[in-house]
Amino acid sequence: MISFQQVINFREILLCSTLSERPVKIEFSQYPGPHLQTMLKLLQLIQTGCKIDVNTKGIIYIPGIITNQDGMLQTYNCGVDRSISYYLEILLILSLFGKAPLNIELNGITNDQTDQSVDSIINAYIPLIKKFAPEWEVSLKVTRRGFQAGTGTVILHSKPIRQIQATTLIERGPICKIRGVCSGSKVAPNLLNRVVSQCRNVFNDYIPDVWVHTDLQKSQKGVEFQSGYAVSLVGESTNGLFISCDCEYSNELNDPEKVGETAALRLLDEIKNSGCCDTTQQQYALLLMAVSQRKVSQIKLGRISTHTIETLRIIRSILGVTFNVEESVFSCIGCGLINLSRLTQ
Amino acid sequence: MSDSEEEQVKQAPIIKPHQKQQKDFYAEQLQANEEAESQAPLLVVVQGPKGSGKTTLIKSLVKHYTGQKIKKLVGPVTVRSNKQHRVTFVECPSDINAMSDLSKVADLALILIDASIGFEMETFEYLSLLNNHGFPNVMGVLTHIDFFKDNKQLRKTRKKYKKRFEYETGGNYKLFYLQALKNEYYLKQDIHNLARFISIIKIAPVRWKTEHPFILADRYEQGKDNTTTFYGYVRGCTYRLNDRIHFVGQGDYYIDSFEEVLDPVEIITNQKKHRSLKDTEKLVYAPMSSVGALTIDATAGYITIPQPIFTDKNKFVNIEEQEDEEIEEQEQEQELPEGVRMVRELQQLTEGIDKQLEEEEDVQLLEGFDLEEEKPIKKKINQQQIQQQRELVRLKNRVNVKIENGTVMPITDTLLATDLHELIYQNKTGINEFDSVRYIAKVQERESYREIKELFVTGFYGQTDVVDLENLEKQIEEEQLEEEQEQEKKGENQKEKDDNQNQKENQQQRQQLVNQLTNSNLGLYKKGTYVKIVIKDFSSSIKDDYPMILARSEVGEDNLGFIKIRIKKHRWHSNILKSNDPIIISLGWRRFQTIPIYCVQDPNDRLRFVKYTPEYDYCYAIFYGNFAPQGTGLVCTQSLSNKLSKFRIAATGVVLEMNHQFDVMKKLKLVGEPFKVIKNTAFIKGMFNSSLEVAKFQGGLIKTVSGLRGHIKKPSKLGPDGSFRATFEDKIQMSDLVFCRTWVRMHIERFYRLITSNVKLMKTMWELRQEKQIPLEFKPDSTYQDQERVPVKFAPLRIPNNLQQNLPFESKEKVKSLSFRERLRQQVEKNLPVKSNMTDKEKEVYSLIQRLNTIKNEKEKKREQKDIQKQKVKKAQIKGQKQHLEEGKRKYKQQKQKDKFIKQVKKQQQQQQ
Repeated sequence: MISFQQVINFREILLCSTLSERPVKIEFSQYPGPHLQTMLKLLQLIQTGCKIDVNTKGIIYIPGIITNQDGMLQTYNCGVDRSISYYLEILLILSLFGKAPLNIELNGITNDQTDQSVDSIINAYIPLIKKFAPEWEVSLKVTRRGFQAGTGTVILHSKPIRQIQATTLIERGPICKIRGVCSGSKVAPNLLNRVVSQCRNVFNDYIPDVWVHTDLQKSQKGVEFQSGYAVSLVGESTNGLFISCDCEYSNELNDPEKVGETAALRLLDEIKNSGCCDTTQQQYALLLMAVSQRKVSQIKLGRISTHTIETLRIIRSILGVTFNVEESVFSCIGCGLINLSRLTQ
Repeated sequence: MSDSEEEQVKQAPIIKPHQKQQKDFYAEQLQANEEAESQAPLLVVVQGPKGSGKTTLIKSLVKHYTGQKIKKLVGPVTVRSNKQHRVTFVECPSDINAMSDLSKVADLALILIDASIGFEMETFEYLSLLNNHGFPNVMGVLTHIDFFKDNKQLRKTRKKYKKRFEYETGGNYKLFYLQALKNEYYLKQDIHNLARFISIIKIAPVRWKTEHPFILADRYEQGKDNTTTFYGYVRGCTYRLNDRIHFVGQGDYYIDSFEEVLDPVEIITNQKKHRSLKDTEKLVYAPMSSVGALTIDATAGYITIPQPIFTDKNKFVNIEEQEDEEIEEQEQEQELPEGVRMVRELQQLTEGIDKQLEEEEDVQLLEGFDLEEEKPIKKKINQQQIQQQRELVRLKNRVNVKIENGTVMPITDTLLATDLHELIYQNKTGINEFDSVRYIAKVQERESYREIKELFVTGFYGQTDVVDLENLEKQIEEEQLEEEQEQEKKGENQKEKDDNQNQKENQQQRQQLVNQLTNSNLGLYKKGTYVKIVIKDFSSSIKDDYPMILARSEVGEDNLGFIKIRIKKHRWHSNILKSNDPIIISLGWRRFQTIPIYCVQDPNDRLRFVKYTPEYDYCYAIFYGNFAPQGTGLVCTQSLSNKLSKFRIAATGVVLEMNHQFDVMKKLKLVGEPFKVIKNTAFIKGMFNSSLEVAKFQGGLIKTVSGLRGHIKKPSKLGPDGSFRATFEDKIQMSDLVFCRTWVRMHIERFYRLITSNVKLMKTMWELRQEKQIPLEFKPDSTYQDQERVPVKFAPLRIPNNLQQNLPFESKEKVKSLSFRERLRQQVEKNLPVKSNMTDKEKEVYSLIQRLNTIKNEKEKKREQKDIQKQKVKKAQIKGQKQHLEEGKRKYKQQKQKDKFIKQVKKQQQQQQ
């Protein structure tokens, strides 16, 4: 059993462990919070034969096989501790290696300040995974927005695949499109337009092809929405790579113009400093490379987040894949993970 | 025109999706093989029944390639067949374990057939093993041909064997014929032909091998502190270092160290002058067997000196002619070759060789083979590099790089890429503080992003001068025209050349990438590298003649769980297989004993339990074992004994699905009886034991024997506990039986035992019965008995008047049936005295006849009664006799069966003893 000590990003450990079906032991100096339990319960929901032992000092996690409850529609409440995308990041990769298609409805927060928004996942994260799994069939829809109170709902349908392809992502190419979603609930409709127009104002110096949708949550009976608004922007390059960023209303950013401008500037910053995928999603690109078929995969990255560095260590200790880093190009030979739980006739 | 076009369309071959997949796979594999710079030696497994000449064949081939003689053949032998090509020969023992292991690793299987005997059981077993573990290249070799003196007979048998071999392998595989022996070797010409075909063979990629690297150990050394060192080539594909390794047939072990060492039979790359090998370059590497006079053991090297051959020149007296031709030749030369001189010198020694070795430092006995420690050349260089890099990093770190908590480190010119590698993998302190992947950039002022305009499609906007668009378009057009003209000039040949060049360039690029990764010390070992593996605490004993296969334990494949396979009993295996009987399965690298249960799939996807496998059909089996990727072939055997009394392979199959739980259902019919029937409602007892059980089955479907359907309604207070009220679609009879069809989940045993050299196997029920002399259970209840049925008298059918009136004409009664009253009247009328017209005389005569008739009738009646009584007595007699007889017969039969079984058991015991 591989044991980890004082590791904060337990999600990646659980993800790698589930993919490789190796039991792990994680020790904490302090309990990370209720989201740990939510995460573990979600993992238990989609697996059979999974055994989890949690106490105040740590977890022992013995993964099972991902069956996705034989493709039955599940409903899961993600709580208000972390947003839906915190769980989606893991769930999307796990759904690639399932037995049956994953059909799940997740309830919780769609936009918050600690995690990326669900829109970024739809517009940038899923296309990134599709680069590694071209035949993957997936649909992710936001049916209801939720700020803070966790009234949001997301429906995910995802079909499993056999193996992840080795991919080389070296040239990003120039940015040719900018798309985005400006979402809000319980605010004046005019407000969202103000955010969008400010975004456009910034981008006008760079590119004309800017299209930011507005998505205002309509009031529903029996649901108490919290007021809030957020914007998620995605820049698409000519090579089909996406770079995303998020910006939300907060105490510091309390003006729609401010939110719009900050969002646009954040995207510019990402475009300036990142390689073939943005800083937020880079660790998942590396993870997919590590589990891909036994061939050389390469990716060019810009700045490396601390989270990524720890993820790379986890990948090495569980999957045994070491990356070669040369001038911001990360390359490796994948470990050739095959979907063992898949059904064949 | 249109017709011909249509025809063409019709004629176009249709590629089915699975065919395409296969094709893609092979194309990919071939490409990958080309990319790999070095190939592992071709692994040739020589298989055949006892006495078919396996050892002789290997010896002859080695002699052909290198001119060296092998005295005693143990373990693999690697020879250099030409500059780029090496071949490893392994002899396959007739043990079923070794056969199945070697069928998994073989690149080419040489199947020896003794022509004097014909095809033997082992050959068929090995072929079906090969078939199920991925079919590698196969060549048949027919030996002992000199058995046939008659030429015509020989030709006939050759043809027969060839046909059969082709039929069994299902392809155009070659069958070679080896003529008589000459000086204990096969004829030169035959061996030359065979060697040529071995060297030009194209390796068929086997999926299992291309995804699972392994090492076939050449030799091993057992150290003092229970460490064992294995040496061998990495085969299959690139080996990624892992902490564990699976010793096939022994179990999993932790690796202590894994190093690349000097290759004993290197590929010669730089010399281009001569195509053929020089004599010095002809190498044979057989560390476990004795080549010529040299034997290498775990601790030392020995030189055996058989007396007649290597005597001192002075004492040279008597030589057998055949063996020493070579030495005579050598002695005719004035200067002795080095080897002979060395041996001569060694003979004249007074001291032991150990002491000599201590005095002299580097004694090399064979080229490329050191008796002392192997030097990990590559690692040394890499360590140096790493140290240099570390120093650099330390310097750089001091100057300007700081890792701030929660912030991101930009890759700039000030930070080397190696620093990042160091930071990620050498430094182990946690640097992350919050569990969120989201990175929020610290936004600078709007003006500072002006410079990144060039990163957009409209990049030249505002920076470069205004471009004259018209000119630009013209320029582009001109360029295009020129290009087209050039292409036309070049023609098609040139194009092909260009394509080829491009392909080559691409290949080179890919190869460079692979090389870059494998050489950068990331724990990757290319196939064909010679490695040394040290395993600590290796407890189990090693047999020398048994193949030592060390396989990398792959991600997820060392896990245990339930596996669903498609299985078919082998057509030549005599018995069908029984559920819950232990069986030995060879799946992936592992061989293990497990308890499968067999099932078939119903149309509604239910897995239904079956007690035995069908005789000629596929079924599913579920067992607890090691995971292996879907589509992996497997072979089942029932025992590991080497007795060839029957075909050892019991079944073959393919992995379909893995899971931690499977629902295999067995049919269960619950039976109940009605004890009260009121119209369509019935109260039923005897089906359940308590009302709680009934409550669980509420709403369940039930059925009578005649097919009336119904539902279970509620537990009732009437009758015994567990009785319930049920409704049916019609009124049921009191004599009816009521069934409830249910399904019970079968328990699948979690039994798994890896087959190692000293494993104790679980016994089947039959074996246990035989051992303990327990006869089969005999239940008198389950034998068939004659049923005596009382014929049922049904009341006549009566249709009410009302109903009859409404019936259609067809079903109506055509002749009116009379009512009771009408019938009575008719009778009365009939019996009324009729006025007679007879005279008195006539009356007298009539009355006399009547009286006579009555007397006659009375007599007949009495006689009949007597007859009936007689018959009854006779029948009773016969019946009694029959019953008595039958009972006697049955008892006799039972006794006979028991006697027979006990006799059989005793006989087998005697045989065993």
